Amino acid sequence: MAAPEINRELFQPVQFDREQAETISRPALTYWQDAWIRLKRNKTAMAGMLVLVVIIIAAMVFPARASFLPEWWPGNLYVYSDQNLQEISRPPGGLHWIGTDDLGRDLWVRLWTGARLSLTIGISAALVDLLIGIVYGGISGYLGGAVDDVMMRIIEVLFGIPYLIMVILLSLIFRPTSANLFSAVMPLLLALTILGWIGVARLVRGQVLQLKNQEFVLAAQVLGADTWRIVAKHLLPNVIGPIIVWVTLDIPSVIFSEAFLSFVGLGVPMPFASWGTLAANGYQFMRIWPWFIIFPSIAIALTMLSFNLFGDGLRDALDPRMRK
Amino acid sequence: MARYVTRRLAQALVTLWVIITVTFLLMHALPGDPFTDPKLPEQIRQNMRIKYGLDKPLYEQYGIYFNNLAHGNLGYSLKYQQRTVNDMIRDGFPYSADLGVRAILFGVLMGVSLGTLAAFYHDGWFDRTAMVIAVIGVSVPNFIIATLLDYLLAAKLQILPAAGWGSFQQSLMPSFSLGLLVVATMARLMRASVLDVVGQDYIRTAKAKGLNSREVIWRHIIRNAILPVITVLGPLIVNIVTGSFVIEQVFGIPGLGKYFIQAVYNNDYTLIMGTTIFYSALLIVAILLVDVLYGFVDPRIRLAGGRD
Repeated sequence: MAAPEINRELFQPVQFDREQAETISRPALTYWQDAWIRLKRNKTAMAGMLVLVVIIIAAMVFPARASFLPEWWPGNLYVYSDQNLQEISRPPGGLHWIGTDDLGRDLWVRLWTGARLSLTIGISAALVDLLIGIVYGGISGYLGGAVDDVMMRIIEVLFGIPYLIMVILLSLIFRPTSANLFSAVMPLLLALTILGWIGVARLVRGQVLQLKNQEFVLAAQVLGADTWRIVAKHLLPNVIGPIIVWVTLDIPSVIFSEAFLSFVGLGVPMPFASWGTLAANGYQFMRIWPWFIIFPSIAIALTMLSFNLFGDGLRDALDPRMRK
Repeated sequence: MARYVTRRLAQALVTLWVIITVTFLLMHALPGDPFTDPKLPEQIRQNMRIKYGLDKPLYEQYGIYFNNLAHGNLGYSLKYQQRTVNDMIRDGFPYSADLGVRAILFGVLMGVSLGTLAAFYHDGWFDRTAMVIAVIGVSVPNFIIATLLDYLLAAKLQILPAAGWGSFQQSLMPSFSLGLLVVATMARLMRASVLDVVGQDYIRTAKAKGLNSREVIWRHIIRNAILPVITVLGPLIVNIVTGSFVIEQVFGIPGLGKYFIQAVYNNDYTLIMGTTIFYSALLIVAILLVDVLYGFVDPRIRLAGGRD
């Protein structure tokens, strides 16, 4: 078979058009779409996210009563505070998936009820820190001058206070009581957040200080935007990336602080369960009944690890300049 | 430089004063007093209150406490009769300091070498393994590591003593579990720092001058890379101290951290106040020293005088 003859007629000059050259052929990606693409490429961060999703779902479903599920479903059989003195310290197996504790309570249900508490404390303390930090740091950075000076001196002084020691003292004042869940958790939350906002306040202040003198803020001012619009539309979207990263990295540190407090006996009181109290109880009986300590330890470690991996990945995804 | 040191010193003193005052007020805001035992006759209770000065108005008590503090006197323990807080600190602190220094030394040496090697073998298997260790070290709480180690090595395999303090073997597990966070933090920072320094022009210049690689690594790379890493030593020392509370409990070390937690259980207010102030002063001085030291080592700060 002869090759087709190639001649001049087959070719056609490309039309070069100045107008066409400027059109953007691909759809424009927003900041978030762009960040999501970068995040998806980071396997460890995605693994962290997946584990977190699994843990959160497990915390929601396992202790829950579900009549449409078979009888053996843990949430249908046990409640976290149900003591059964006939079934003390059963090893893992049978209907008690990971065994029972020294009062015959089902550890699987306690583990995931504890997850609810630990995660709730972690997330809500981080959000409270965030709220105070944004307001404090935002005011300090935006107003600047003498106000900023005074506010920063206060922060520098507070920053020198050892966090956990103060939290221990505060947990003495706001003593959690076992009357109800609210009175058990609120004092802890207070103790954990009184000094916890300092980091984010410094972060926000630094960002605002850097941003407020940039041209786009000046342009907005010239166009007649009021302070509120500038803060909401121009400053906030620009600081939101680092803030989200800060929150994902603050949650595990709060979970750690809570577990630490509970471990030394200053956390949520009995019969409520948090990962810290489970670990503390497990530590007491470690030598005879090792399964008490193993599972809460894995849960705490895995959660903190996942939050850290996810947070690191998020930092790389949200701030490409920071990437190494 | 002098301006920088003065400013940091003033800041540290104010922080310490705030801590003392807040601790004092918090302890006095607690409902009741340590002598609320209902079995105690009213008269004895009154006498006890008078003996410990709890009957005086708050500002007067504050003045007395501050005056005693200025003379280095932290008062009597409320639970252990005839024991002063100073005594208890003198008893417990040497153990805690011993443990803390071991943990820091282990952490810094191990962390810096891990981080440096990881950077030299960038993206190789060593780098990946080191960074996995680092992430785990940052994420897993020290008391979890301590209890798991204690269970595995002492209870199960029985190759290390489970508790106590004195022999080298006994110090291994506590120092490791306390120092692991330092290892992890240092390794991550050191790796990033070395990677940064290796790409600098002056390293190329040093190589071009014909220095052998040992000279380049020690005199130019490590020396420059370690500078920014020093700054995290302050926060890490704080972490070592608070971590020692649980580590001493887990391994039965008769240190100050154990006294502190015990005091919290016992509502031993003077002991709580005393140890809190002692710890805070210690940490503030440590952080101040790290900052000032950094200022001396880094010519940019030494010459420019302070950073904002």
